[in-house]
Amino acid sequence: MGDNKVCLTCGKSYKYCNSCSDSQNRVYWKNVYDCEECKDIFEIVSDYAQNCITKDVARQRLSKYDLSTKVISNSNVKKYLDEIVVETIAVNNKKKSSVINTEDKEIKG
Amino acid sequence: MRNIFLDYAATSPLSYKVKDYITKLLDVYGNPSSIYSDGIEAKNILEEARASVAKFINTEEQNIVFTSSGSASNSLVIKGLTSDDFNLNKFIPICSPTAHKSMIEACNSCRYKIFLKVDYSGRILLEHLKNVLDNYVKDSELRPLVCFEAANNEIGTINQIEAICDLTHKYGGLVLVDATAYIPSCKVDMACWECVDFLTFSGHKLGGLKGVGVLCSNQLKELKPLIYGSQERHLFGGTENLLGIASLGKAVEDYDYENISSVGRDFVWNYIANNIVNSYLVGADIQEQGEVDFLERTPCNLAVCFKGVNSIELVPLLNSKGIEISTGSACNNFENAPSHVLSAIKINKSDVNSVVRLSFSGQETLEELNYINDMLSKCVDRLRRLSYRK
Repeated sequence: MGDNKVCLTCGKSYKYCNSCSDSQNRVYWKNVYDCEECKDIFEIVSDYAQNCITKDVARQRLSKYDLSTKVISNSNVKKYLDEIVVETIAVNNKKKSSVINTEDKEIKG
Repeated sequence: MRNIFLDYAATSPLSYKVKDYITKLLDVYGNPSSIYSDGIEAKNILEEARASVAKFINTEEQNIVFTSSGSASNSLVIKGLTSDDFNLNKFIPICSPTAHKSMIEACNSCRYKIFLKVDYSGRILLEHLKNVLDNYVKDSELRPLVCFEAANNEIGTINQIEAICDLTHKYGGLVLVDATAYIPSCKVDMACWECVDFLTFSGHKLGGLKGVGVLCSNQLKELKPLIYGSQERHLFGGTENLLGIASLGKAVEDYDYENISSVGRDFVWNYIANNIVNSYLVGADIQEQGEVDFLERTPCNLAVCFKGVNSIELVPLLNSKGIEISTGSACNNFENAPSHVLSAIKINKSDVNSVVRLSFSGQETLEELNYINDMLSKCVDRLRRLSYRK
């Protein structure tokens, strides 16, 4: 059997069948997500999209995943991820630059 | 909160009473066909169960045959009345296109067969049945065997049983009614359903163990065996599934229809109709969504289409929230093909993968119902926002 499913989160094709004897790790979410990480990311993004959690909470919950290596081809998920993660990077950069400025000031002073 | 099981149309749990009873029977190892005391003990248990099932549907014990499933019972009747030998065959199956796969495929395996038409709700069109009987059967040497479901297992609509039986009998035919989806929530009284020649149902949807089916008929002598052997009137051979049969006998002993209510189904449907846009009750007239008539439906079934939501995604998402529902018939869940029931009622093609079935026990608490509504709303919204498969 070839790939028969497409992950709801990342869009990657994968193989899973409820009735085939060679399908390993029979868990309900395998019908929709290719890995547990994708399942968790979808949960976080959808919680955020529905205003069930704040951006800070979403950011904190996503922090344990290495999103820099993850290719997300679901544009709907990516849009929210960008909203959470890209802005986080911008905020972090802003914080960093304000620290540098302070240091600069201190040096100059 | 514990898991909320909303797939009673697929199966049902064992009650404490049934568990207790079958646990005690684990030491009964006699073969009911043996004539020494252990065998007789087993035979007595078997016959007690038969008496209990007969009483449950108000018929004679001699009319009850135990098989291995509702599917086996359907196959026994269809294959038992028809023959591949042209000279020996006396019946032509005429089948509902929304029937259970076991009925459809048994009819399909016959040399001659006709499939009926249904309306948008899944009910057999009587006019079409009459046309079929007039045009194909009236002057034929073959007698019609009309096969259909009392209630549809996916969408819960109830057929016009007496009318179909009366019409078929006028043409000298016989009727096979699959009551598997009907009997868990609607009482069957064979004294009132004398017109039904063969009635079948499954045991595990009534609180029995899996692996037991029932065939009820006072015309069993018309049938050929499905499995050869001396058991079950020589129609379904093999040592009986004593534990399974006994569990069914015990489960129906005090089966309580009074406690089965449509309140939960109606509560959830009212919420969906008023709060989840672009959703509709499957098999109902879409123009009249405000006034859906549930009278011709089983009280615990709710088949809903959430437009733009893929049901294959909605089911696991709700599962992650502790709610277990189905994409349709449990028997179809492993297949990628669209449901034959939804195809037969000509549901909009773009909606065919957006239908889910909620089947209630009828005893859900208000807290559970509110949680179901909340999660349905959230999960449908999540998929509409985030899924790229529309």
